[in-house]
Amino acid sequence: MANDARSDAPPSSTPSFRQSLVAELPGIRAYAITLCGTQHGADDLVQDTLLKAWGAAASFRPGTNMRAWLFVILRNTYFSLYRRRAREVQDVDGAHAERLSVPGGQEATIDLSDFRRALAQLPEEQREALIMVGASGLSYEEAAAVCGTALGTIKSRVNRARARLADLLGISGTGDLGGDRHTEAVIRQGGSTVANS
Amino acid sequence: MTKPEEGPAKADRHGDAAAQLEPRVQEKLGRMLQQHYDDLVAAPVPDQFLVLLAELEAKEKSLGE
Repeated sequence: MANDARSDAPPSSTPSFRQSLVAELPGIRAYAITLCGTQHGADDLVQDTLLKAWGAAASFRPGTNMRAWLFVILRNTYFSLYRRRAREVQDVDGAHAERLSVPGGQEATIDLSDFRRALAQLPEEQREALIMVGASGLSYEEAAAVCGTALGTIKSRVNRARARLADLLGISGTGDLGGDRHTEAVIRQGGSTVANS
Repeated sequence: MTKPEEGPAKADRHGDAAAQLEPRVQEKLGRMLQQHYDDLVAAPVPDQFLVLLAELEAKEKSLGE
């Protein structure tokens, strides 16, 4: 037990294993929701991850990235136990998300709920790569290690995720963003006015 | 480095796809992603997790004595 991270009596300045886990809770919860696609099932996944992490505490090397270590446990748990369950829910969300692609020239503002629906449309491997690298603070190298894949694969997934999101949100092409789309709409309207007159 | 079948050719193609995104599109996606993520991590953590961890720690301490 002497090498066990749980039972090492830490100097008062060093957080205990439990405190470190508590500090990582928001991050692993966010990752669980990302993998599951929705909140549904995510908290069960977090609970299982915590139990496994506690049992595997001896395998955590202090000084290494605890978040990445927890992500590995969470990811393995997800793919072995949760994936099918989460998929069923994702399919429902996917049906909603299909209504996303509205032709241009209308509301140019993309709100967060549009973004979330688009994100839910992505294959889980692209979604998790984007979240890890783009928001969770993992390096490409760490994300590749968590996913057990090559660095180039992670980069490719992140790039595809961005391209697909831009596509789903209708901002991938030139002039599709905010003000320009509005301008286009005005031009179109002007054009039709001319045509009608 | 990477395996030929999913290495350079494929990765470059996807790299190009992303490179074609305008910087402002990339920025917008980045901002929305961050906003989405900030909301996720700002959500209050359910007590059940804190209780679970406290119980695990207490159990272990009692075993250790």
